[in-house]
Order: sequence, then C-alpha cells, then structure tokens
Amino acid sequence: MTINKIDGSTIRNMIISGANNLENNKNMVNSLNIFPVPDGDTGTNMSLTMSSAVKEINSLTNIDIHNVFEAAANGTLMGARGNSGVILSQIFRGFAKGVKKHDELSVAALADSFMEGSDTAYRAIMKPTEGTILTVIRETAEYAIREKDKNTDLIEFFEVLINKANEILDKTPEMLAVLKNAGVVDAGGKGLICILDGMIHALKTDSILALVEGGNKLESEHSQVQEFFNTEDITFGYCTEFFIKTDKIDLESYKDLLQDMGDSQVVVGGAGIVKVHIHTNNPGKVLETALQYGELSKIKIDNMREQHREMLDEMPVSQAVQAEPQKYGVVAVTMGGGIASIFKDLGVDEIIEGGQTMNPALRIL
Amino acid sequence: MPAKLSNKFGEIYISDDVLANIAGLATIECYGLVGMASKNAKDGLVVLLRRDNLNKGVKITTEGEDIIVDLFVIVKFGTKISTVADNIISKVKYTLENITGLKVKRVNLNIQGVRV
Repeated sequence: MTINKIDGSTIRNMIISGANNLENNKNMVNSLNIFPVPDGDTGTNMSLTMSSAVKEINSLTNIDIHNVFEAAANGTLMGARGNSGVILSQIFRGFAKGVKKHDELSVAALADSFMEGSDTAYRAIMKPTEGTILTVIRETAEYAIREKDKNTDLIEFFEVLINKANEILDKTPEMLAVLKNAGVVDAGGKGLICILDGMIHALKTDSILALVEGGNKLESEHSQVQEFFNTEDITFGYCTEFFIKTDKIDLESYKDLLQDMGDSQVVVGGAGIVKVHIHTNNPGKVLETALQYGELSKIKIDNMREQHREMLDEMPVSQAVQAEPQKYGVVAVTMGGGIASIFKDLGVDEIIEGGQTMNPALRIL
Repeated sequence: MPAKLSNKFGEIYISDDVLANIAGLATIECYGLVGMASKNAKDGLVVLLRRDNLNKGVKITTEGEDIIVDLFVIVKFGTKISTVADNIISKVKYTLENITGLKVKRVNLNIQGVRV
C-alpha cells in the first residue's frame, strides 16, 4: 500500500498514537533521564505535554491538517512540562508552521515541517547542548530534506526517517559525556522516537495505537541509571498519591498551595474527582490540606528513599567480584597467565592485566 | 562575601564571581532562554550580554554556606515562560550544588524581556 498524502483524520490518529506510545513507554524514558537534572521525569513530562495536545485535538470539529497541527502546537504549548516538554512544544509549533506552506501533507511537506520544527526548536536556545532531543530532531530533519526527492511513499519515507533518528539517538552518548558516563542514550530523544514510532504505527494500520495498562515493562538494562545518583539526593522522600472527591475546588489555586510542599506534583481533575500526585516530605500536611476539599480515597504513600535503596540492593551487578559484596577486596595487577593463576590460588578477588606499563587506569581498578 | 565551606583540614572559600560564572554558564544551557540581561539597567534599557561578561546577569548573595542566586534573563517568545523558568531554576540549583557542594537556598529568576 502506498500513501502519497495524509489527511487530517489520519494525522490526528497519528499524533494520538504517538502520545499513547509515549505514555506506554514513559517509565523506560524516565529511567534514562540523566541530563540536565537527573530527576527521572522526562517521560512523564513529555507524556503529559503530549496528552495536552491530544485533548486539544480531540476538541476539534473541523479536522484538516492545518487545524490538527495548530491544535497540537497549542496543546503542547499550554501543557508543556519540563525541558523536554517545552522543546516538544517548539517542535510542534515548527511543524504547524512548516505544514502551513503546503495544501496537503506529502513527503515534501513532511520534510519541510521537520526542518521547520527543528529550526523553531533551535531558535529558542542560546547555547544548544548537542547530544539531546535537539540533535535528534535536527539531524533527522536535515536527512529528510536530503531524501525527500527519492521517495513518494510516506510510509517508506517515515520509516527511513525513524531509522535515521534511531541512528542519531545511538550516537548521543558520544556527544554528551554525562550520557556516556551513565551508559544511556538521551531520554528526550528516546521520547521523541517513541512518538514517531506511535505515529508510523497509526499510518500503517490506519488505527490508533492503544494504551497499555500500567505501561510497558521496564527493560532492566536501563534501570541501572538510578545507580548514578545517591539516595540522599532525593529531596522529597514520600511519593504521595490520592483522590479527592469534590466539586468545589479550584485546581490552579490548589496547585499553588501544593507547590510549596514538594515537587513532581501532578493534579488532574474532572467530574467531581481530583487526582493528586506529589513528592513531599510532609505527606500528612498534604493530606490535611486536601481534606478541606472533600473525602479522600485510594491514598498511597511510598517512601522513595527506601524504594531507591532497595532498588540499588537488588541491582544485578555486572562484575563478578561485586556479586558477593564484601568489605575489603584484593586486586592484583599482574602480567601473564601464570602469575595470574598463582594470585588466584592465593585468594585474590580480581586480577587485572597490567599491560606493558603495569600501571592500569584507575577506572579499571 | 565569598561562600565558605569547611572540612577538617581547613576552609574553602568560593568567590561570588566564580559562583556567578557557574550559574551563568548553567543558565545559558537552558532551553527557552535566548540571553542574559544586564542587571544594572539604570536607564531602563535591557542589554543582551555577550558570553564573556555573562556574570553581569547573575547576582549572588551568600549567607554562610547558603547561596541565593538572582538571574536576569531574556526568554524566547512562544515558549511557556513558567515552565522555562522552572527548568532554569532547577538546572541552576542542581549544577551549583553539584559542582560546589554548597547549598542553594533560593534561585530568583527575573525575566527582563522576550525576544520574538
């Protein structure tokens, strides 16, 4: 099946699928979050930003491509959360601007909108850090412009773009040392690719990618990132979540109230029920304030420091020495297999090949 | 007054200029921000600062081991300013605390202009 142009309702499905796919994978994206501040919320932030776009799109009555992109741009702008959210909103603003130059969404228009998205995103920063979502969108856009004449089928074109985007994402650790040290790719870039993956799914199947209850399972290889920040670095210790049954609450002023009590707060409401999520040091105080508005239900409070410690303890450690934690370890620097095996017999925990200088890098030790 | 850290061997003083430079560099890496503005806008004109005198857009006040940072910035039109501000504040706080080991008490952000 070849598709040469996309109409409004398809692009709507694509954006919704993109948002859903991101929501499904947000835990994975969260676990990659190490830059600029390792607070593990990139996936959540991007997903909330996208869901605001979806809400805006769903309220449209006239679905043509310009309207849909305009709504997505507005939605992401209003709902932007976190760095990645703001960047995403700029990308969508650029998309909307790029599409405006064309009457229909063809390969050329798609390439233009990518380029415009990247340009707009770059205009809002003084000193771009490469190796982030910005790099991913820029290089993908540049590639799109180069390739746009070779392809007329949008599915093929989109696939080529996603492959390119993945390729660049894999290179992000080379560009940004923080990522390399933690052994991860950029979280924002990964989030963007999740969105694109969702979009192509919708384009291929002409249906909306469904939400998975509880999200996709976390791939274990990424969870190790958390190792890189200390339990003590968690400023607010208790993850508090509950529902308030009320219809006399002003969400905005309630949010302001919560602002001082912690961070990572999410307050969403509708139809007589308000869901609250906050990281705080005073869960009691938060609940107390909430009680003024109405009945509370499904209260859940987790000690995040404890969780984090447990996570660190359970972490499968890659090196054999560390498999059985012990207070002291003996490491021998040797040359040649014979001496190494003598040391092994003497009960040395780990042998390092000294090489010519017999002076191995501190990192290996 | 320079910020002071002490350990069992002695004391470490970090001058306000150094803190201002770190804060300035952290700030300009933030998304949504197009420049630092001079805080001495006597004549009411906001001047976009060049890279080498970045620290003019940063005011540092130290109280022992606590730092209070005032930033004067210009943001890009068409971004959600409140979110951009949140991002800048958390980035600056994280970077300063991470690099210097001092405690950042407050980061105040003054948005002096928007650029289209």
